[in-house]
Amino acid sequence: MNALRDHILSLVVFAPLVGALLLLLVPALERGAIQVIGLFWSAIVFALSLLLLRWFDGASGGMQLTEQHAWITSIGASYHLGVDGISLFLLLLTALLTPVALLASFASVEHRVKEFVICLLLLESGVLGALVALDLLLFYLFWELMLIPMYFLIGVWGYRDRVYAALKFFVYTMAGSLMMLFALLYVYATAPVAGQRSFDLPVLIAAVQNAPYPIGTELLLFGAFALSFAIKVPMFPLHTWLPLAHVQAPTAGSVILAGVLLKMGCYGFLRFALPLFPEASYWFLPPIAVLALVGILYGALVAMVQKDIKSLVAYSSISHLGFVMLGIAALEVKATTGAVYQMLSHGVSTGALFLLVGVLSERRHTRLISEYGGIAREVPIYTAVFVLIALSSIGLPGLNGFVGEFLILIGTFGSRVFDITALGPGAGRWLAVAAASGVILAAVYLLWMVRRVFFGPLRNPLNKGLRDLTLREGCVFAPLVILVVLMGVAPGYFLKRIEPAVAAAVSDVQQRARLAGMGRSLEARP
Amino acid sequence: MSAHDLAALVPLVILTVTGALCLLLEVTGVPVGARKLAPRSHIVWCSELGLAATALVLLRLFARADQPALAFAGALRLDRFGLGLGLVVCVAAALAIPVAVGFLRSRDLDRGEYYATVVFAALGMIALALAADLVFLFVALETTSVAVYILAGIDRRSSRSPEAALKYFLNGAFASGILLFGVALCYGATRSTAIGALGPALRGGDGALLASAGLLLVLVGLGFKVAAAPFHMWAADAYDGAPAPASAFMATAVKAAAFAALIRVSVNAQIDAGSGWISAGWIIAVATMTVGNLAALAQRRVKRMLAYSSIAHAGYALGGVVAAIGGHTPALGAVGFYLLAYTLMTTGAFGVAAFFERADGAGCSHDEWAGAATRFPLVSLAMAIFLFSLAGVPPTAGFLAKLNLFACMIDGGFYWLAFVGVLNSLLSVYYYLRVLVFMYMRDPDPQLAGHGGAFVGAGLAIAALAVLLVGLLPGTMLDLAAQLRDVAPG
Repeated sequence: MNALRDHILSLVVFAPLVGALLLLLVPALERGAIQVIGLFWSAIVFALSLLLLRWFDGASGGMQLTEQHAWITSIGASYHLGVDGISLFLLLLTALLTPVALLASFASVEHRVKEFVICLLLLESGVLGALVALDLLLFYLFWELMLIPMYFLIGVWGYRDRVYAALKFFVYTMAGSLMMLFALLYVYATAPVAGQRSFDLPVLIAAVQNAPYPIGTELLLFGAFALSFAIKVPMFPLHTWLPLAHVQAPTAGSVILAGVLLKMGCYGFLRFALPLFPEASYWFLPPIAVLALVGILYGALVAMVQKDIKSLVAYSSISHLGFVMLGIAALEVKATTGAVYQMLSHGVSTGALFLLVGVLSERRHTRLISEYGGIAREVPIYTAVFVLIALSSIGLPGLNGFVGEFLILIGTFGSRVFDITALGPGAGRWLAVAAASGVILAAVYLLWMVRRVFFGPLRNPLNKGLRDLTLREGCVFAPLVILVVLMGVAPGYFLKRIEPAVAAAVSDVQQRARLAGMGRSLEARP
Repeated sequence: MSAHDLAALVPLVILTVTGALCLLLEVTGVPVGARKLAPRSHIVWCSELGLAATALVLLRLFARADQPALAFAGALRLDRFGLGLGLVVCVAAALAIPVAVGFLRSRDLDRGEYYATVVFAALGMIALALAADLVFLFVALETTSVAVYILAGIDRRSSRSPEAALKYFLNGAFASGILLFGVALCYGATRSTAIGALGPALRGGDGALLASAGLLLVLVGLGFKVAAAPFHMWAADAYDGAPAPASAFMATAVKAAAFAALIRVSVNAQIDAGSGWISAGWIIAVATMTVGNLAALAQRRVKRMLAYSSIAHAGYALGGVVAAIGGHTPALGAVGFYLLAYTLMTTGAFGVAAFFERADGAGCSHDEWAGAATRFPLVSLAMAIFLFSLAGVPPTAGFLAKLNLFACMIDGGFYWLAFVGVLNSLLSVYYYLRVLVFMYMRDPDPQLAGHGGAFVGAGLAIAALAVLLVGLLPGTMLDLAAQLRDVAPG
């Protein structure tokens, strides 16, 4: 058991990869057999990842279950993994969404099923690896590894404009990645590490803590990292690849994209950009907060006028991730904890929404709102699930969406990060108030869409006799519906484990920024 | 004859004998033991064994070369840099031979001459990598070039191959002339043909100007060979027109050897870090990568795209060379490692082109590769690995080599060079992915056919696995590469 415990992270990260390789090696199988193997394998990975919960010490804010082995010693890269409260639930979410997405695409993916399953498993490995990597080179490796399977998922199994969408996705993300790579190499080459150069994150953080960069350099470096992560989130105005990718991606691709890939951007801010460049963070947080706010409102407004349900959900993602970024930018324990919580709950709710849209478009091959109307009577169970998920996405108290958004809003309201900037004292308040209107807008676009799709008279004769959820689809939604409720009524279970890590990260950044002189004016205020 | 002379002779003799054997086996026919094999498999094996033996000898010399030694009165220098790049040449030749077999058989070119020519070319390249004397360098370069001109034109009945050979020959002859002129000027300035004599002559005295002019011409000549902008014009036509297996060899081995010579000459010149030479090298490196990438964007033929991509990669490597000239010696190892990674992925990519190529260069355009992944899943997978590696996406050799190289540039203070390199990598992503768009995301073209076979499969598989392995566990390779630091006389 101890050996398992010591290597649990490696096991979880590489299990999907091994599955993908095995599938690659087996000769052509029946389509169904491949799907079942993939589902079974990813379910095992999820089961393995549940072991993390058992061994994870929720009270500690530090890295746990760490593993470190020599990797490329000559350039100072090591195989260093670890998990903390920020990454723990994102790992679990990834491990859960992969089998769910696989199960959901049993019927919809018809050609090249083997490659499809391989891509999903590779993607899972990439995401899991990026979440636990504590070595910058290792992180970058996994970060890019996420890109390749996603590119194929969109480009091969997507809808009509898939090739363009895939290319745009890849080039956008790669542009950000390369900026990050350059900054990463700069830090690697210039950080005053005693002895050999290192890519190790804790080592580098300690090094830049002892001898911070001049603020100009630090700003540029933070900018490069931030650009990469902001493209991934995506933050306004770098979001243009997202609706395209989402709309063109197959359902499983959208689920993973919305569920976990986008979170990697937010995660990157918390794990890398803020701790490595605390002083520059303080400069950048106010503009990030403003852009996040713009994202919230802009995403919501654009979502309102969408004709296609899937692109409506895609734009709602931009709005919801704006909340996450606002919570991170507030750099306050409550707000940032809320941001991590919101990442999870957005993953569950939006993942579920994309799955729901997928079900509808599998049946009718259209996602236009105007094609539907009054189908609640034909598909009552489907409607019930959809309404529940939509309400959770809006942030109805008692469901998962509420907790994160609420924490973010009160945290931002009291945050003093913005006080010292051009935004002026009390900026946190009006940011929070303005952001709160995003919640109202969410209610508008989602409920309006729900009304037009499900209620009213059944006008389109093609929708007569629409099939309700099958048993398989029921199995897809069951875990998500349970989570939506569970995260809404018992958030304490999750928050208890998230908060110590967030508190440690936040106070670390604050302290070091203060040491660097940035927070001095902050302290001067009463 | 000293022990060093003998040591230097061994790899060259092995290759000469191997090449001669290949020719001989073609004439004598199939030996009794090999009757059951496909025709001429024994020649392939013979050349592979010769190359393997050479590589082993080079490795042995590499291990013992902690003290560099001059051989043949200073004509060759046995140092880890030259031996290391000699090994890269061996790798390139050993990979380029098996991937060629399928194409050669389909065009009825599967003769001993082909393999012998590759082996002789490799001989010239290894000599070039070790050359410490300008005249010897020229002889080695010509040995290489003549063999490679023949390879480019080997498909006589094709309309494109002779044209490519002629273009390559004319440009190459011109470059050789310039180089020779430079050698003459250097000799005039230093009264010696030793490369090591250039440095002191440049530092002052009567011959400084003459030596500068000579150095410039020698570097221009070598710049032609590595296809550095603005001397890159021939490369696209030559690599695209030549049969793909020949291109696989030309684009990698020639480049590795020519880079060895280029580095040896330029580092030995001991140029001041602040001088105009550095700025010029900087500009050429940036121009080469940018021109290569911009031109590659517009290509509709995979082979031609790969030709321009090889120019772009020469640009990245030149960036490393500039850092090395600027006094940052670890850059030498980084360039060596880069050339190894480049060799693996480019030989592989051209090898896939050879897999699909038909008469007169057909079967090498993006359109013709449409839907290749459904018909040839394994070859397409290998191509995907090569292309991601060329684009510098982890976990591949291409990524790690670029990382190492850019880190060295930053380390040496060439921030902007690294930055431009990073931007260029981004540019390259588009055209590499475009090939995959066709292969994976279009409907299959029923016309598409490939020449498989055990050799081709093995060659591509080894190249693809090596790309992944070097990308994931590069420890040993990087350690070896880190020892390629000593090229100056001493």
